Amino acid sequence: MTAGPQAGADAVVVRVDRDRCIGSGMCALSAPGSLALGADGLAEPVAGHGADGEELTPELTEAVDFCPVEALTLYSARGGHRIAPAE
Amino acid sequence: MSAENSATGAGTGTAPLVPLHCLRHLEPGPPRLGALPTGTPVWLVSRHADVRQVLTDPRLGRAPLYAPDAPPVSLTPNLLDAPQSLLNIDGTEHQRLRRTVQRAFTPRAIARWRPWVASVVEALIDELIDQGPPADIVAAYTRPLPVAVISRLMGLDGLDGKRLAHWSDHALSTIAHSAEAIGNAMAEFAAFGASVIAERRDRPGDDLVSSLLTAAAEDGSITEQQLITLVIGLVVAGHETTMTTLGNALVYLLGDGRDAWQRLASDEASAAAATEQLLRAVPLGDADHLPGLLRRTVEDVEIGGVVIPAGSVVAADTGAANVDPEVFTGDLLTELFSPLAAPMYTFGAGPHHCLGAWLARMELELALHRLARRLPSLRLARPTEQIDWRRGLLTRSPNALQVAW
Ligand code: SF4
Repeated sequence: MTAGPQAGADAVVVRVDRDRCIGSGMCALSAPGSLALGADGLAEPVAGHGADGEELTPELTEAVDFCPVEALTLYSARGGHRIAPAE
Repeated sequence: MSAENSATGAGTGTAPLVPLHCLRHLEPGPPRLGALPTGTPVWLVSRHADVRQVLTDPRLGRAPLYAPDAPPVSLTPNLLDAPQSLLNIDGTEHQRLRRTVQRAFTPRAIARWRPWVASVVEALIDELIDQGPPADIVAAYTRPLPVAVISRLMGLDGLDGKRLAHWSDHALSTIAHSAEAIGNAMAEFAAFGASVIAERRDRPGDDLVSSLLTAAAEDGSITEQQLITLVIGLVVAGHETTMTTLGNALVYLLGDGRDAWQRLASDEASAAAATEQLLRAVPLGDADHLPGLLRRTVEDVEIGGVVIPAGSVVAADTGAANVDPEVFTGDLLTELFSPLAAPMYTFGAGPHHCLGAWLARMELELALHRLARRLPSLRLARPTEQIDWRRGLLTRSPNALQVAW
């Protein structure tokens, strides 16, 4: 199941702001290993991306960049600080 | 549903059209069968949660509406029916095309334009004040603002406003124009789009067309026809609906809702809240030619307790969902400055959620706030019954709106 070095130096978690998400599915298409659409049509982190953290992939960075409503935020799994988008 | 009356505008002995904020909506309830003007059966979906499902569920799509086996959904196809348009493709293909422009339309990217848009707003108000009352606020404000914004964004300086208005009217026509007239106008519009693309390939700039060409070249899968349709689609979508919304918002705010004008002037946050409520409660047009945002099922789907068979046309009635009493209580008079109780679906939801949502919001907020601040005594110069409406299109807004101060 684990796609990357869990809780490793570069591990990230992704949070979905469910009040903002409009269920475009862009993120689930571009980073299927990190995000999926839930039963309610809104995005959800997949596997470790929601909890312990997973390796940051280019696809995930892109998903965060391309979310039409900026509902996705990346945090460092270890330090807890925000990685993207920049404040 | 008198097509002729709508097409000829004035109407023969019919009552004047009500302003859009007074439009009656379908009573929300389970999906029920109706018919499109083409006679094609359509499932009308009206409840808030059901509309959301129609727009986000991957078992419903736009592309199946234009599949070879699909029943006709428009009497006279317009730009929105172009099968290669962003609106009418789904899944990965849609995502790849949308990616070429998506980055320019995120809230952050749009926020960078705010000071510039504010300066355009102020310049138009200056001119309006110089010209003096009475004035037509459509010609002076609600039309030129979005046109200026999209022209700047896309680098279309010198685009003739009359030609643009001609193309837009045909692009969104339902019954105002013949199929032949629409075909001719769209061919001309496409030639314009192709020339803009050619010019920007030669001399790239910092505009949206240049950046989408770069992104498309990197992607490699996007056809020339898709690019042309995307460019002209952005030109129309970039101003038509904003103009319509602003015009109809002013019909409300300078008439029935006049009490809120002062507060609108007070701060941008109030204007932002009011913008959301106006977007929610004032529809873009009458639903008589298009009962909602259309999708077609690719398999049997249960929606709101009803099993809708594969291959059915479904209309998500966003106007009804936006006033669903299960979710939204109160009306514009009491709620204009309150946060929305739930998401509104004016911009849609799901993969085809309006690309320009943030741009439209920003233009509307600034346009309403600054106008109220500069012209606190602005009012309608004639009763709303005398409004001359733009008719026969998917949207309805005043052709002209006389105001005084
Ligand atoms: S891209 Fe954004 S809006 Fe779309 S599903 Fe993902 S989080 Fe939601």
